[in-house]
Amino acid sequence: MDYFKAIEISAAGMAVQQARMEAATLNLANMNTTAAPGTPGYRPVTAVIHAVPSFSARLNGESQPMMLPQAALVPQTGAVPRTVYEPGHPNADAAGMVSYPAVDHTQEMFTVMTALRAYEANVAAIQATKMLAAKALEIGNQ
Amino acid sequence: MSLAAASVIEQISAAMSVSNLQHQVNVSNIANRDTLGYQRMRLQFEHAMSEPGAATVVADRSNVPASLEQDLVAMSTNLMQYQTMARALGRYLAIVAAIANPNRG
Amino acid sequence: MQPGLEAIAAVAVSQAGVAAGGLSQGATATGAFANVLQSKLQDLDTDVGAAEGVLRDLAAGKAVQPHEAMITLERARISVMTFLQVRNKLVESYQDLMRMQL
Repeated sequence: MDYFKAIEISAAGMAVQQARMEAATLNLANMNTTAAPGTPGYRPVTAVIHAVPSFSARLNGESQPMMLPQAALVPQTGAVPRTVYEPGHPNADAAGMVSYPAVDHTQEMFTVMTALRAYEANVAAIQATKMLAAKALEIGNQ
Repeated sequence: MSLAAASVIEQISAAMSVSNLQHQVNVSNIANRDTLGYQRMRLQFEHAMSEPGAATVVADRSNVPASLEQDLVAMSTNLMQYQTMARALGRYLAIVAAIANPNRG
Repeated sequence: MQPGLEAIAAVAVSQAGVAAGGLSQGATATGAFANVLQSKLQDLDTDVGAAEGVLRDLAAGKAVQPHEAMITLERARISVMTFLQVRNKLVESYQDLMRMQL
C-alpha cells in the first residue's frame, strides 16, 4: 500500500466521521421540533456507511478496486415518535398529545464523542503516513 | 518547448515549479472555503500528463463539491511529491558532483 | 546516462585504462583489468540510468514511491563511488609504479 493511497483512505475515514457528527448534531438540534398534527414532523437521520470503490481505483480502472467507506444521511424508518401530554401546545392533537422526534439524547451524545475521537484518529493516521514518507526520504543520508 | 529531451535536472526543476503553484492553489482554496463569492481555482496543464509542462492557474468551473478533507489530502499529497522531488534532485546532484570531481573523498 | 556525465565518465575510464595497461605491462592478463573496468562502467551506466529514469517519472507526475526512488538513487551513488574508488586506486598504483621504475 503506498503513501498516497493511505492518505486517501484516511481522508475517506475523516469524511465518514464528519457525516456521523452531522447526523448526531442534526438530531440533537431537532430534539424538540414539533409539527402540526397530521403533518410529518422531523425524522431523525442516521449516517449509513457503505463500502464503495475508491475514486482513484475507478480512475485507473482497477479490477479489484480498494473499498473506501462512504456515508449517506438517511432518515430513520420505523422510529416511534415520543408523545407527551401537553394540551395547551399549539401542535397538540385532539387528545392533547404532542409528538416529539424519537431522538435518544444519550445515544446521540455518544455518537458525537466517538465521531470526534475517530476523526482525530484518522488525522493521526495521516500524520503517521507523512512521517513514513519523510523517513523514506532519509534513505541514503550520510 | 518540449521538455522531454531536456536534462533530468531541468525536468525536475520544472515539475517542482508546477508543484509550488499547485500548493498555492490548494492553500487558497482551503483558506477561502467560507468566503462569499470566492471562485475555486485549479491548475491547467498545456501538455499531456506524460510530459512535464507549463501549468496555469484557472478558475475551477466544475462545481464538484470538495470537502475540506479532500482539499487537505490534495495539499498533503502535493507536499509529499515536492519533498520527494527535492530530495531526489539533491541526491542526483551529489552523484553528478562526485563524477565531476572524482579525486575528492 | 546524460551526455555530460558520459563524457566525464569516459575520461575517468580512459585514465584508469592507461593505468591498468601500465600496471599489467608484460602480464598476459592485460585484458582482465580492462574487463573489470568495463563491467563496472556498465553497472554504473545501468544504475545511473535507472536513477535518471526515476527522476523523469517523478517530474512527469507518475506515482513513484518515495522509498523506491531513494533506494534507486542510493544504488546509483554507491555504483559511482565504487567505480571512482577503483579508478583512483588504479591511477595511484600506476603513479607509484612509475616512480619506482626510475
